Amino acid sequence: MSGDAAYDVYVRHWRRCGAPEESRRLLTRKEFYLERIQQRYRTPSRCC
Amino acid sequence: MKRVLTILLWIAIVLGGVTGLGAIAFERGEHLNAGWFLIAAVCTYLVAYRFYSAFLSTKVFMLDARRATPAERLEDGRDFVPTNKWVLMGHHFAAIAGPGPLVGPTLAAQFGYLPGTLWLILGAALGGCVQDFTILVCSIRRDGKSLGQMAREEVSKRGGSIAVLAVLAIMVILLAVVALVIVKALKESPWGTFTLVMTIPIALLMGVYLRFVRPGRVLEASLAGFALILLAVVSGQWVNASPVWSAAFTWSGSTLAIAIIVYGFAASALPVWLLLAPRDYLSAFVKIVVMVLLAGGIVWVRPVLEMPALTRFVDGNGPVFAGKVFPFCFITIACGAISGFHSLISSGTTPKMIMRETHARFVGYGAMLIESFVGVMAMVAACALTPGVYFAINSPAGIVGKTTEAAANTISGWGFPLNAQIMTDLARRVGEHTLLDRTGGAPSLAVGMAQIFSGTIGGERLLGIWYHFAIMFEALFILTVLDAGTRVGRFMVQDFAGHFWKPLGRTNWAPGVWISSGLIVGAWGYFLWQGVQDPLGGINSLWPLFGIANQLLATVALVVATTIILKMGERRFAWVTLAPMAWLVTVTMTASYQKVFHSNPRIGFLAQARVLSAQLASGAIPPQSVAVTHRMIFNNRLDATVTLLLAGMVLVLVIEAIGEWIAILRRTKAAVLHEAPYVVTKWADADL
Repeated sequence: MSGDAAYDVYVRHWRRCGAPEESRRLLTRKEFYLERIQQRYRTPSRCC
Repeated sequence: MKRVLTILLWIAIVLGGVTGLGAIAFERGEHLNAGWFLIAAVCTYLVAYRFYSAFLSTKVFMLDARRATPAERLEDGRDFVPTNKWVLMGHHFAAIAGPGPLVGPTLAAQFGYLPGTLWLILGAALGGCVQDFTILVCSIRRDGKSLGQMAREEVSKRGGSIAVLAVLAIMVILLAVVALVIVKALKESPWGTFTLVMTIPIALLMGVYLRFVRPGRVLEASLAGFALILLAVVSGQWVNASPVWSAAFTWSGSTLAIAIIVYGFAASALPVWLLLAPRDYLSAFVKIVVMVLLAGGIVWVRPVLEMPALTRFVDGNGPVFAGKVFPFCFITIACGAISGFHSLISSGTTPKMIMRETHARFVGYGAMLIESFVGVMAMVAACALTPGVYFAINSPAGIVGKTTEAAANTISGWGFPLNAQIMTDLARRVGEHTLLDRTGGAPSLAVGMAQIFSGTIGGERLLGIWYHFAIMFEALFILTVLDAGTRVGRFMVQDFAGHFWKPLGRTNWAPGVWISSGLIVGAWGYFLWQGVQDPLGGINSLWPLFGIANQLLATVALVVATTIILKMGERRFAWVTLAPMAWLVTVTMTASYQKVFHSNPRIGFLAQARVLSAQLASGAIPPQSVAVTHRMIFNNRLDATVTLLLAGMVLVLVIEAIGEWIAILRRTKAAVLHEAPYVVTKWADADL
């Protein structure tokens, strides 16, 4: 629930399916964390 | 035999719910125990979930466990990630549970516990849960499209634009209102202000840890942050006791407002990993802990509710906010029963992560039931206060008087006995200088929660710690909504402005970030400042404005859902969304009309502007207050304009939608659904 496993899920998917077109390499844990939080807070993610 | 036992069990649950609701509705004279509220709420939720949500799933939407969701079809390990339903429910609940279900019921308690509690329970089961669930299902079947996109495709282009504009407007008003709640909670409160200020360096530490030391290790960072927060709460009492430090952290409402505005700008403009994300993790963690504690505390203590079922203020002359129980009880409760903002969450990340369509019942409908329960707990905590204390905390000084004695006399005159010493003692016991004129709901809720927590652990000697823990929780919670909302608003402004000047649309261009952050912060900061300067406390004007905007967005969501149900050919089931939509239109249009045109200046914005103008014209306003009065006149007219614009936009959408529905029903227009193609899941039952 904390999201700690998100990177592991991403790596498993990357290894199973290969790199998607827009990303040719596996992101590092740091890069993945940064990208995820930047994406999360672009759209409403916390309600009133 | 098993079937017979099941039937008997459900009969017992139904009887429990009916008995609980009956006790809440009809008991007069004796003080009601909170246990009845728990029984009524839990039994109603169980029945609603077991039968009504099952009906929605199987008959209306015919959810198909064999249909591949976008999490399967578009799985990318980033946005589209199939997630266990329990984990997803936790994420979804953390996203939808905001300060609304805490503050709204606390404010609505001025009418007594009855109207608010009935609306929280029944409104959620028949309205809020239905909205969250239907929008979630619709978005799942459209590859996770947002509410605005669905409105554009299924209703009309204008519908989509209205949805986007409504979101921006509600965002600005919401942020101003929640900021005002914090200002009211922390003004003249050194302990509370110190604790909240400390959350900033704690969040910065967490941010650096998560970015550079152990990226993505949210749980350990949150645990450490929580421990530091507790230390800040406890050490706040030493700050409070020190003449020097106490003076340093005693901030006026205006100072707090400026500090919050600066904070909002910084949180929006700074890198997200530094402040916003770690604060969010921390507040989500604290939120879950506190809600569990509150539920456990209420079950353990089962406080007696001192507030009556109905107070005299159902007539519209309430001190907390003006307006009759209809429509303002429903407008004020807002999120605890139904919230338009939830439709943004339901069409945000959740539909991209759901593994099976059938999980939407548990995640969408179920999470909103829990939020409603949070609202019921807040109502219990507020109504466990003696009415005199409740009104002393929540009434603005402009109505009850500036001194404890004056407030006690006024409130006793209303029929709620109160003596000045009680308020002085209570303030001392919770570690505050004063609890008077602490409008906005947060301090009274904190007092109620502290009494429940201390009744469970620690007793009277920990009342101050528990009170400030509750204040910290509320303020932390609210600041997270503030900074996340400001950032989203900044992106919306940049998306829009980028059409006119490309550089402004670039989110990595610093001047563009600062300008758009400044615009959003300026917008909500203006309303916040207006509320802080308002002699009637600000909540009287701003909370109903927020409630109206929120419920109007819910109307938009239900219009979209109704259109989709009709296009599916399920006209006989359209009532499931049409009925709550019709109710919301009635409530919001009535409230909008009254807030703009009511002749009572405490209710109607234009009446207030007229009274002030007359006072100016007659020379009754002292020279030093003339400029402020002109601003107040302008602000009232601005509030009236915003209300009319919002109501007008949604009315246009409803009228357009009705035209669309008539065309679909008469088959003069093809009912085209914009769903993603049906693909059978590759996952066997065992995988899920």
